[in-house]
Amino acid sequence: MNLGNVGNILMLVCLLASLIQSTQLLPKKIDIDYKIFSRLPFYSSLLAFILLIYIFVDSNFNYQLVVNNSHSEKPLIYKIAGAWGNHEGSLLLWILVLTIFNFMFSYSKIEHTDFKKNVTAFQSLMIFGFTLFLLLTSNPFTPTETFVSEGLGLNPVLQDLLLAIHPPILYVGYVGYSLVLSFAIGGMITNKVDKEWAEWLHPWVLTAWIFLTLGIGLGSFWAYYELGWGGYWFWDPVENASLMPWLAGTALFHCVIILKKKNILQSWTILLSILTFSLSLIGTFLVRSGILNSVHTFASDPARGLFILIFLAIILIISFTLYAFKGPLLDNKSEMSLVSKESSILANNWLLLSTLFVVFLGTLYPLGTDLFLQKSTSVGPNYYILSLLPITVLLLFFMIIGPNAKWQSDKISNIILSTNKLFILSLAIIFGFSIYFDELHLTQITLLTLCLTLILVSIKDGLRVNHNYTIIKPSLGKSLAHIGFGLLILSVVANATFAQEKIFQAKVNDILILDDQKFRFDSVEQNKGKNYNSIIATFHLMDNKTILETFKPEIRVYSNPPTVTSETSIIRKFLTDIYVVMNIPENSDFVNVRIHIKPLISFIWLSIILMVIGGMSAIVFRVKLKK
Amino acid sequence: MKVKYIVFFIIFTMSSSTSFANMKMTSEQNDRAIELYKETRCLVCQSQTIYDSNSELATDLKLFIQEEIISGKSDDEIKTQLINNYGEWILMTPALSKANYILWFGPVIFLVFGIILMYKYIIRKNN
Repeated sequence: MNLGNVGNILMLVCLLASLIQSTQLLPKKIDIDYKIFSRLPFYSSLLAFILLIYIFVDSNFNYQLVVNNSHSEKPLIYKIAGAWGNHEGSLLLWILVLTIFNFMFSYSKIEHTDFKKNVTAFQSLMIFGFTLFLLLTSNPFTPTETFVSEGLGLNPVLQDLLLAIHPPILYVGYVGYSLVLSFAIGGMITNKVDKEWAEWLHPWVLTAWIFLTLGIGLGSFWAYYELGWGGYWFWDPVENASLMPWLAGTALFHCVIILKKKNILQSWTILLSILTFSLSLIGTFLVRSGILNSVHTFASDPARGLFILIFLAIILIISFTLYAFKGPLLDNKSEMSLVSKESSILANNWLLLSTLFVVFLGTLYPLGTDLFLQKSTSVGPNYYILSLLPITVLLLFFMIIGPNAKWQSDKISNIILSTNKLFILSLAIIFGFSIYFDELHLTQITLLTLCLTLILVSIKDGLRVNHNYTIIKPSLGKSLAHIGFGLLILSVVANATFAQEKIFQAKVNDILILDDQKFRFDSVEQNKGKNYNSIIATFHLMDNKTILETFKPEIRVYSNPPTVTSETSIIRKFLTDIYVVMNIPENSDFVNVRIHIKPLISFIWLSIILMVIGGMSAIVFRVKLKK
Repeated sequence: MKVKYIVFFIIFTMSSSTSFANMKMTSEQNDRAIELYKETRCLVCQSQTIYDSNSELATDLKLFIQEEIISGKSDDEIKTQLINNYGEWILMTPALSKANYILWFGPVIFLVFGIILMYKYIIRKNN
C-alpha cells in the first residue's frame, strides 16, 4: 500500500473530525460526543507523524520531502530529526502539538461541560485551519515526480542532537498557548471568566511557559557552542520571535495568579491570552515567510506567510468581536490599592509588555523603513541593550518588593523594612567587588545590586517555614523562578562586563596570548567523520612548560549539502568558560583563531534550569481553591 | 573547500605574521576593533556582522578597520567613513536622527502611557 496515501487519509480524518468538533462553537449544537471528536485528530496526526518519521528513517526517496532534507548516509538520529527539520514536517508537528493539548484537555476533571465543549471546539477550529494549510500548500507526503536515488541532505549546522530536540520543545511552548486562547474564547462564550476559570487555566499556561523557557534556553545553548560566535543571544529576528510570546506569557500567568486569588483583572487576562497566542503566530509568520533577514532562513515562502497572516487575522477578528460584546461585562468591581502585591504584579505586567514592545519594534523596524522609506536600517544588539536597560532596572525593583507586599493593601514602610537589610548587604558586596576590581560603572553596580538583592530576597522568601517548620510549598516555585531570573540578569551583566576575547591570525607553533594566558598552536591533522571530512587543530593552554588544558577546535567539510562548519572547543569550569574556535577566511593561508574567556556563562544555563524547575513546582504545589 | 589544500597551507606556509595589522595593535586597540566589528554589518551575508563572518568582504572590512585604528582615527571617524562608503545600513545601531525617533522614543512613550493608564485604573477602582 502507498504510504503517502495513508498519510493523506490520516490528515483528512484529522481535518474532518476537527471540523465536526468545531461546529460545537455554534449556538445550536449538533448532538455529538465531543470527547470522540476532540481526541480523534490526535490519534490520526500522531500516526501521520510516526509515518513521516518512518519514511525518513527508511530513506524513502519516493517523497520529495525526504529527497530535499535527508540523505541515506546520515546518522539515524538526524534522519529522525530531519522529519521535522523542514517546513512541512514541522507544520505536521505543530498540528500534532495542537491536538495533544486538545486531547489532554478533554480528559481534565472540569465539571463545566459547556465550557469544555467550547474550548475543545475552538481548539479544533485551529487544528482544522492548520490541517487545511498543510494539505493545500505544504503536504509532507508529496511524491517525487521523477525517480531519485539519493537525497540532498540536511544542513550540517542543524545536525546536532540538541537542535534535534529543540524544535519539539519550543513548539510545545508556542502551541501550548493555543489552548490558553481557547480558554479565553470558551470562557467568554460561557460567561465563565472568574476565579475558577483561572484555577483551571493555571497549570496549562505554566506548562506552555515551561516548555517555551526550556526551548529558548536550549536554542541559546546551541547557538553558543555550535555557531561559534561566542555569544548566546544575537537579537536575531527568529530569537526575538520566540522571546515575544515568552514575555506576553510571563505577564499572562502572573495575571492568572491575581485573578485566581482576587477575582479581578478579568478582561486584562483575556487580552493577554489573545495577545500571547497571536505573538506565537506572528513569530511563526516571521520565520516562515522569510520577510526578515535572519540566520534561520529555513523554509521561507511568501505564500506560507500569507496563509499564517490570514489565519492570524481570522483568530483576531473572532477574539475581538467576542471581546467587544463580553469584555465590558467581565470585570468585577473590587478595590485595589496602589501599594499591594497585585499592583506591583500589574506594574511588572506593563514592564514585560514594554520589553515586548522594544523587541517587537526592533524586529519590525527594518521592515518598516524598507517598505515606507525605501531605506535599509539595521537594528542590532546595542539598540536592545540600551532600550531595555531602564526597563530591566524597574522590573527587578518590582520583583524585589512584589513578593514582600501583602495582597489588597500594604504600607510602604513594611515593604522597606522587609527588604532593606538584604539590599544593603547586596550593595556592600557589589561595592566591595567593584573597589577590588575597580571597573564597574554605575549602571553595572545598579543592575548587579538589584539582581543580588532579588536572589537573596527570593531565597529568604522560599525558605519561609510555617508553624510546623515545613517549607511553605506554594511559594517555592515562585522563589526558584525568581532566583533564576535574578541569576540570569546577574550572569548576563557579569558576562558582558568581564568577558574577554581576541581574534588571532595564526599558523602552527604560534603562541597566542589573551589576558596573561598563553595558548600554543601545536598541530593540525586531518580526520574523517561519518559524513564529513575535517581538520582538527590542537591548542594547549600553557603554564611555562606544563600543559594545563587542551583544546581541539575543528573545521568540518560536509559534502551533502556542501558546507563548511566550525566546531568549537570549550573547557567549562565552574566560574569561567574558555572557548576556542577557528575558521578559515576565503583566500588565506592562516587560520582565524578566536579565543574567548567567558565568566559566569554556566550560570546562564543554570538560571534557565532554575526557572523551569520553579515553573514545575508551581504546577505541582499550586493552591487549590476551596469549594 | 578542499581539506588537504587547507592543511597544506596551515602547516607548510611559513608564518608571515608581520604582514598582518592585528599583530601591531595594542590590547586596547584590539578591544576597540572587536567592538567595531560587532557594529559593522557584513553586507553580503544574512543578518551577520563582519565579526561573525568569514567572507572576503568581511575580511577586507576588518583589515580596513584595523588600519584606520592604527593610523589613529577615532571610532566615530571610522563609523562616519563606513557610512559614507556603504550607507547607514552598515552600522548595526541606528543613529539617533529624526527619522529614527519612533524607534528610540517609542518604548519610552509606551512605558509612560501604560503607567498613567494603570494609575488611573487603580484610582478609579478605589472610588
